Amino acid sequence: MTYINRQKFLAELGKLLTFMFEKDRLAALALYNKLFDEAESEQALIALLVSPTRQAVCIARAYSSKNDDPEDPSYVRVLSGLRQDAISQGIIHPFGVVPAEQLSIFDNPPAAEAPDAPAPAAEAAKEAEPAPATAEEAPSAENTEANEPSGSGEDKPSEETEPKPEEAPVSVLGETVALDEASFVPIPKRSRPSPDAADIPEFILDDEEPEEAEPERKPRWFLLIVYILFAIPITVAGLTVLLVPTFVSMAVAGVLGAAAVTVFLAAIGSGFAVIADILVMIGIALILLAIALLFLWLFIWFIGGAMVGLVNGVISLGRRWCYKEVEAV
Amino acid sequence: MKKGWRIVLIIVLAAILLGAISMGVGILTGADVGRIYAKLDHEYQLGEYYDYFIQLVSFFKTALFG
Repeated sequence: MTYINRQKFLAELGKLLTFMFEKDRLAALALYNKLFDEAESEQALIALLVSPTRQAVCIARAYSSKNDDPEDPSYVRVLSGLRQDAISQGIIHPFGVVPAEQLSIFDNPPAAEAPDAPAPAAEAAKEAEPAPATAEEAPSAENTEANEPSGSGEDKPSEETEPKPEEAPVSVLGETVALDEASFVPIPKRSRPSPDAADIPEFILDDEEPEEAEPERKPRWFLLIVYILFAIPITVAGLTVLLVPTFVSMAVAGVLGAAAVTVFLAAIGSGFAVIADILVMIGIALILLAIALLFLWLFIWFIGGAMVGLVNGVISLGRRWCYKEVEAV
Repeated sequence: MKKGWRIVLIIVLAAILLGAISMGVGILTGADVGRIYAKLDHEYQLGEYYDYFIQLVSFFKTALFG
């Protein structure tokens, strides 16, 4: 781990927290500043915080929590937890240093527990040696209960009752981090996002209301056959009747279109000397073209709209009359 | 289809309006309908087409209504 001072730590942290709103970022940095102001040992606090990257990751996890209370943001709770850890490890003394001669009702709690774990304490002492800055970080839950005077952290390894895991440094986000209990910043459970409806896949949510099974359609055979026998000739007769206006529209559209083109060509190429006559001819051509377009569209509508609509109507009527809906078993 | 009708009707009305304006301007500036008819009849035998159309209509009238 590289050793950095407060200024560099906060500068680096400030750069890493740019994902936050400016107001929240400044509030978080102010809280970190306050931690450093309260800490007796800068290096001890930096060792507790591990690295700006680690802190940025912790803040990011808490900041993206969906259950955030605007009056009590989750990143503030993270920092409060950090402060509590620092207090418990003696890095911060919120109420000042307690004199050693002050009597306490919790008399000698560490002495009563020392015989129970001499070996783990020795192990802890051994393991604490390679990590110079982490010697003061040894956490002990028992120490938080006892109001013992906490000064330097050198006494702490000897009071350790639980064996520490091996502190093999690992690389986290490109930075080497020594894994020990002090490195882990406990995030309050409240800050962990609880799964809500947005996280649950939709297909699970949709199962809350089971879909009704589609009813089956069964044909009434006799009715269906009779219907077909009558529907076919009626449909054919209807289509034949529709064919008449269809072809009439087509013929009128063709004739009028041809007339419009002829008039237009005559206006341009037939040697009309008077511009007014040409304008009248062009006007007539435009009107003929417009009516031709109308009849052309009418022809298309007869084929695509009227005839197709007739066939679809007969089929849908047959479906409605000749099929019965039966609930699916 | 509804959208198609709307588009076609808009185009048709616009073309009719333009044609009417063009005809109005032509007539107001001195166009002579008789001169135009005479020229077209000379070029495309309009009179004969008109007579043919009248015969066709009377034929269909007789065939359909007796």
